[in-house]
Amino acid sequence: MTQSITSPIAGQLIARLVQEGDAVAADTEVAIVEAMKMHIPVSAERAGRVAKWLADEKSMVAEGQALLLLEG
Amino acid sequence: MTWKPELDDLERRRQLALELGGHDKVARHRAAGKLTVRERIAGLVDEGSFEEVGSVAGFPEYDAHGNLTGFTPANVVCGRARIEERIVFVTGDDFTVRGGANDGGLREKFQFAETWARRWRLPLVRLVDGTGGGGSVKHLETMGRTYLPDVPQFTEVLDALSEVPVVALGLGSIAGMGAARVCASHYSVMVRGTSQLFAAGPPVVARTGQTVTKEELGGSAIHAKNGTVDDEVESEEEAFARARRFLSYLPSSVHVLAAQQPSNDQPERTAEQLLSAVPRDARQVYKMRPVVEAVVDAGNWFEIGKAWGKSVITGLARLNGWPVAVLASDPYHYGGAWTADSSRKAIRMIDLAQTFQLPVVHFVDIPGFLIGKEAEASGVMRFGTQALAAVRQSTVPWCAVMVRKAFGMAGLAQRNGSAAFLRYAWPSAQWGSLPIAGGVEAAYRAVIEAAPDPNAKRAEIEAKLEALQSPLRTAEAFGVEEIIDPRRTRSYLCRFADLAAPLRQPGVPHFGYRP
Repeated sequence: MTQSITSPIAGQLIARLVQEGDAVAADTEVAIVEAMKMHIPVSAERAGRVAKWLADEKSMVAEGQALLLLEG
Repeated sequence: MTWKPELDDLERRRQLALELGGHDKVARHRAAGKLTVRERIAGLVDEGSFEEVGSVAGFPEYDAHGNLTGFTPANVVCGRARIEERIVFVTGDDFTVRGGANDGGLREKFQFAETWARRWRLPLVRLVDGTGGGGSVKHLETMGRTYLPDVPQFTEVLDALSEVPVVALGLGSIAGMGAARVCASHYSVMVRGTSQLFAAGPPVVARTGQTVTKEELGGSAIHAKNGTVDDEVESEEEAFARARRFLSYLPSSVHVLAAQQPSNDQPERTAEQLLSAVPRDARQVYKMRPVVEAVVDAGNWFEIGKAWGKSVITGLARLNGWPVAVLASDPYHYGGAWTADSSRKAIRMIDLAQTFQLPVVHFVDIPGFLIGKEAEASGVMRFGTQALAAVRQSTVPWCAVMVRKAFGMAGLAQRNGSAAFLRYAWPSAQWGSLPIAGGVEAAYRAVIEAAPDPNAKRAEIEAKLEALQSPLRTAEAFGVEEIIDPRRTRSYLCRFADLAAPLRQPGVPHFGYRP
């Protein structure tokens, strides 16, 4: 099953903390979005493997925009 | 010559009533993973404390000689019971009789069950299942006429919310009036997997062209995330436990005050970890729940509404044994900014606190109302302003702990309209009408643009202003009453609770509670 991890807030994707192919545990922080002058961590809700990044570092992302695909 | 035959007859009817909707219906109900209404009541209240009212009310069948040949109980089971020794009134829907609909009930019994608690100034717990006393089209045929929609004593049902604690547990598929009876409460939960809630269920919704399952339409995850109910739980037993816990913080009615419980936690206890709880980098998030838990009486934190409006944490706690309501920012969500949903959630907690005179403690880290397109589309300023009004209209004693940010209009939520109001700032606090970073661009545009190196000029101005941002400067001008050592926060808050206790004012609130 593939599931996307979305940005919780509109802002700038300032850091991708995991790479494609990485296995991540539930609650792992996978990205940081800067918004409201804060670095807001984005976590994986469940365990899986990072299939593909869908947003570039430094790009602006919308609330609910898919940042990466998690499979497994 | 005694009245024994009549008592035997009474007992026989009581036994028949215990069979609920009959063996097959009960078996189907259990197979769906649900407890029967009588098992639910037994699970909720102190053992053996249930004193039923209307135990033989229902639908008898008699033969030509007037002998009872069958009996179906009314599908509301109600009575007095005790929860942690305190008297409450419990009413439960019996789904095994006509799916809980009103044609399986007695109007008089339903009215009694919904109004008795308020009249006797006792907490009410509703165990809602099925249509929860709502109409069934079948009723049309038996009545031979229609009627204007109404709920027996509906005004009084709602007025109860301004006088006694009302807890509603959603324990099945609940539609229409049942759904409204869940929502018309101070605290509501749904059970994951076995409870769904909607204005109308999938068969009716299918007529609009939407084909959905009950779970897709109104499962507990949907409603715990949109605030229709306060919490979702994993089992009916957990729902009962949460109902008991919630009530433990509240008085039996607005006419009396919540009592101080014995506390084993010393008011002067310090918490070393609070010295480093807030990162020095203002952009870094941190966990607020451990801060709250480190301060309140150990083991007494009861969070409400965890799955929605997440930038505001709400719950009940005790300080030196006194029940209090808690608001706290969660920087992990929107940096702690108040959204439309978190404003609605804050209103719900503040109104509860005001109604039942629970002093409020607010752990503040609010960068503002959420900004941006999505926030505007959600109506953040309407709900945000409502929240500010709820805060300022509340007169219950209030204490703010300024943990970090307080900016803009949302920053006004730090304090209420009470004359009995305290404010303590941590050294990590920073505040203002605008955060420096965004404000500099707007206020110094001409200066920045005219400079040979605009970026260097902007940085220079920001650095100069940052230096003025220390809360010590505010305290020097008595713009904040006191800056405290975070490690000693508990002792300040326990003294606040002691000071607040005699200022609580019992009585019906000036504004009726709106669920």
